[in-house]
Amino acid sequence: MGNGTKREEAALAGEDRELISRAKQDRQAFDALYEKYLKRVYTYIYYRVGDVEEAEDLTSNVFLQAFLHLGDYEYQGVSFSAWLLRIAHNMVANWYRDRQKRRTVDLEEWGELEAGGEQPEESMEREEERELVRWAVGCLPPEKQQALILRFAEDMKHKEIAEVMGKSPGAVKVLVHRSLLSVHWLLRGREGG
Amino acid sequence: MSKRRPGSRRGYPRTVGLVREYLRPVDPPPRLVVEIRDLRRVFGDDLRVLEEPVRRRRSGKAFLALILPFFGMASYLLAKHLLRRQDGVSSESMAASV
Repeated sequence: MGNGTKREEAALAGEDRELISRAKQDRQAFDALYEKYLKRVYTYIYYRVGDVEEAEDLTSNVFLQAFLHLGDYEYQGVSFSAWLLRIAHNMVANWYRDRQKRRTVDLEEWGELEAGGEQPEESMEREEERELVRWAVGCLPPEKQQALILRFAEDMKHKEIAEVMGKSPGAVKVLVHRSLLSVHWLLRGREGG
Repeated sequence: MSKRRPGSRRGYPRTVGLVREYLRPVDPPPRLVVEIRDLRRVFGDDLRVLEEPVRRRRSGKAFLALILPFFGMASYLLAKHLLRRQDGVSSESMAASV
């Protein structure tokens, strides 16, 4: 299974490299790249800023930057998705720095944007749990939020997260664990523990 | 152990399960897909326009590199000629005054 995953990763990297070299020659080929990674970048930014319109603007800016600087990208151990998410991370950091904003997420909005939409008959308990989890994640410092979003919302491996965050895979593993512990204790505290 | 009984506190594995369950990918609004495609088209055209002057500028540099030595040589020869003439004029005027 490990070998299979590695083979899949290699195939993905090869496919990306081909797409990137095509996009460098013919800018129209960039469409295939952004279509492939749009959801990933948007998801990351959305969870970080918690505002739909801001997430849209920032996502557009990420792809604009990527488009303009595509010529600078060379595959040297950093995958294209990690490169994009680094741009996204820097953009979100600048956004926070410029505006000194905190999360202003509206819980109703979270519900509207849930991937695939929730079932209408979703129980009150599930709804409550979802709100609690999002509240707890929103309470974490940016680095811990980033680690959890990349690990769970993006379903990235520790090694991939390490590429984005500029840390070792081991450090990422510890950070993800600590972030989960923080969420755990926040939830426990909220339950009146 | 990870199962939550009514009224019991959540265990850590349960928290991990909840985070996994609720922190899921978000679909971008369809208008964003269109917007980025348009952005690519607009900037793609601009990029072509921007790349042209760069090419012209580069070819301009090559042209200057080729002709500047000739300009240098020509101005050197002109300066030498003018100095010689000036020297000639001043020596003639000196001779006349003597």
